[in-house]
Amino acid sequence: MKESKPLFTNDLFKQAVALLLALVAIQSTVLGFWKGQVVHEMNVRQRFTLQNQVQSNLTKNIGQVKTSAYLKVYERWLEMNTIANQEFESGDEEAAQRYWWIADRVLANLSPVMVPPYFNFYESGASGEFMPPDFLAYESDTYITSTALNNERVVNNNQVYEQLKSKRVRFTDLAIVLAIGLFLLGNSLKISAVPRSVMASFGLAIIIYSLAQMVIVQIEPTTDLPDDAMTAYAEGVGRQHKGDLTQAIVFYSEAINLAPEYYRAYHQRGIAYNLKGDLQSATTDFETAAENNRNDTRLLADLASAFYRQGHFNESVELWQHAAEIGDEITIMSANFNLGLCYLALGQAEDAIDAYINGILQATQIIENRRAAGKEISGSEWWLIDQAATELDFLISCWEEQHCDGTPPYENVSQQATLMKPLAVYNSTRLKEAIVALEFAIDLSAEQNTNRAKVNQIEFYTVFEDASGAPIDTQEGYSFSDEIDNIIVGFPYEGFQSGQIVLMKVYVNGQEAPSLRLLKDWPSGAVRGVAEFPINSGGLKFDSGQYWVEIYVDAHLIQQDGFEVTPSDNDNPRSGLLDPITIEQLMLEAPPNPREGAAKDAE
Amino acid sequence: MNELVTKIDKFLREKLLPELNFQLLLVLLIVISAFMTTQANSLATRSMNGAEIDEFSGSAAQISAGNTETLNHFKVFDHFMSYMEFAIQDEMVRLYDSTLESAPTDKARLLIKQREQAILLAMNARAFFPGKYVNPDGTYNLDRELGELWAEESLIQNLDPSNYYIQADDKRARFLALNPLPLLGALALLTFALIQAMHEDRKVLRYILTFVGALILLVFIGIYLFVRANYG
Repeated sequence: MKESKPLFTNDLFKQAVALLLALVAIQSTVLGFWKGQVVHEMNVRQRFTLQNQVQSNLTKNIGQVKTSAYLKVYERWLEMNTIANQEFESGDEEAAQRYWWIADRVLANLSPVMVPPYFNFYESGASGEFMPPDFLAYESDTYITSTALNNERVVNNNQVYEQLKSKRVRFTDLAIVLAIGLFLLGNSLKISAVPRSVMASFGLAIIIYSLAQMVIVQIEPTTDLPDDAMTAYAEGVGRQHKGDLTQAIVFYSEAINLAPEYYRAYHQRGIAYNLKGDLQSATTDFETAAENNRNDTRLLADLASAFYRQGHFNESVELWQHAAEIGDEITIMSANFNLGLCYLALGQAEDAIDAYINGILQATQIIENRRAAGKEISGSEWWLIDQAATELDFLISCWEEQHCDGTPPYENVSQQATLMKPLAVYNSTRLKEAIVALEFAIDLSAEQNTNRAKVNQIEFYTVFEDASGAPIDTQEGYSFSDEIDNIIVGFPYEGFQSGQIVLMKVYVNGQEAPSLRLLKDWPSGAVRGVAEFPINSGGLKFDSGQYWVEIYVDAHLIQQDGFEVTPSDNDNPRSGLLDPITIEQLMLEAPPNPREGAAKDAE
Repeated sequence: MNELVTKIDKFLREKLLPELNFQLLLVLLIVISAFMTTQANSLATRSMNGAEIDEFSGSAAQISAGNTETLNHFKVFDHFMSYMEFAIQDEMVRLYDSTLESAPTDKARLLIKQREQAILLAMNARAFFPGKYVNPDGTYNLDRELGELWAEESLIQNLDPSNYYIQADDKRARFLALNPLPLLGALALLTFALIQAMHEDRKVLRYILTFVGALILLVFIGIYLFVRANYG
């Protein structure tokens, strides 16, 4: 009987390990191949990111340059029409014709925004309502949509890049693990008996583990959004910029249909619903977006605010607390103020006081840190701090007048009114005083003579002047027409000290108007008397709306009151344009264009 | 003694020398496989690095192009604003001219004064834009001026990233073609390792595997040379 030949040489262990080493060599080559593909894809993404970023900035910059230039053309067009109307009214029809001609034949030709679809002067005049050029639509068509698309591509590429980077790091880690396995296997050849089996087994286990991990990392998908979805999203942003929220929602929905994992589209659609006043749908979208991104503080703030406005205070509190945990210093400050608001609405007095104290301390810390670094906090950050006081005033107003715009429904907060309203007023005053103290670096805790400063009542009046500027009459009250260009705030005072900082803040429709502020370093010798602070509109007529005036002495709020400015019928400087005779003149009786004549002569 | 020498000689001729030759061949094939794998890997890495350098140059050109286009727009729209001012005043002058003939004396005096004022304002504005871009219909040829400014700037600095990106794409294509090649090298190495582990009496199987390994190596070298000659 013929003896069969063995397949391998005698030392089976050595041969098996040698074969394993060869297999590991293949495994490491595959690892290198996969890692190479990942690095290649990362580089490509990086390039696209830069290209899209440059394109986005370019389109935006050029779009803004164009819009600004065409806005100036429109301003000149308006100016020409205004002069023409004046000339026409004063009887100089010829002069009026000249200005209309310039507006219609020269300026309207220079700008794409002065022609349909952005502007149709004759149609808007015929309908009886003047419609200025639709600059928002022009901006949307020129750069808003394309910029949004490029920005989305940048964000998407960055996200994919980060996922690929994570893969690359894990592949690198696995290469190290594989090297350890190789070392163990190789070393097992040099030793004998039991230890070599143990060493080889460990090596084999490590190699099998790294192989399994390699496959897992390789098959892990990257979430790359389809370009069609991003295009639909960008169209939505463009429509939203134009003010067409219904169409914007349609486009955001299309983006979501194309890419159900497109959470920014949910967030943006939520914002559009919110602007439309559909809080329920907005909340649903914000929640869907937040389920997958609990670290986006802007999203958390939108969702928390939507919950608050619907009266779901506990949900709002939970989100603000989470935002405060993960956010930067500004988010923490803002979260504290909003927590205070929620606690007031919930009737939790102590928590509300704590939250406002924390918010004020945080704001103080931020401002002190910035000033120590030779910087100031930005206008938008001041706005956030002011907004906290404004929100508080809205809540107080909801309790007082049952006028609950921008606040939770009255029935949700009414239970707490008796107890919480005085607390809200107290917090509002403290917050406003802290804001002024922070802005002018006044130490509120220092012992001052402020408690002696007193203003009993504020009066508002306007002065009418003759052509030479001499006062001829005054009108006192709490309601003025927007035809006026001056309002005086008068108040009897006593106990004012020399060197004290006296500040008058003016709010228009709940928002402070910094240009209307008045700041005085109080002069010596004026301990008591009657002060007159003009609200300086810079020669412009007052915008209609609710005005609120606050008087601070060394950052202590000592008096406040309000008045309203009501709109009048002929406050529109463009009203002359609506005169049908003017339009007829413009259309039918325009003088011949001398250039056309010159062109014919040349022929 | 002679018998012993004859036996050794016979052993060497029949057993050891063929095996030695075969082992030598295997070692040679393994060395070639390892060398080619290293070469392919090295060229792939160099291709990727080259692509990155080209992309960097492309990015720099693209950023320069973006800055240039933005600045050009600022410049051209400044000219456009000046032209608007000129066009208003120039047209005013023409309108005054057309009404002057029929105007009564006292009014004509005022119109002449206004006309002179418009001429001066037009002259002032005229200094701030190049006239060659004004179209016969009174519009301003923004695109033409932008195009010419771009052309002038492109003489001074490189504003075209496309060449760099094309080169980068070529190198990336070479990388993508080379990246899987080490797999073939590793496969050939595995084959040769398997042969070495086999019992020397398994001659047929060993020769077949040697042929397969050598074939893989040849394909590897062929692809490598092809990629080297045709990509990037």
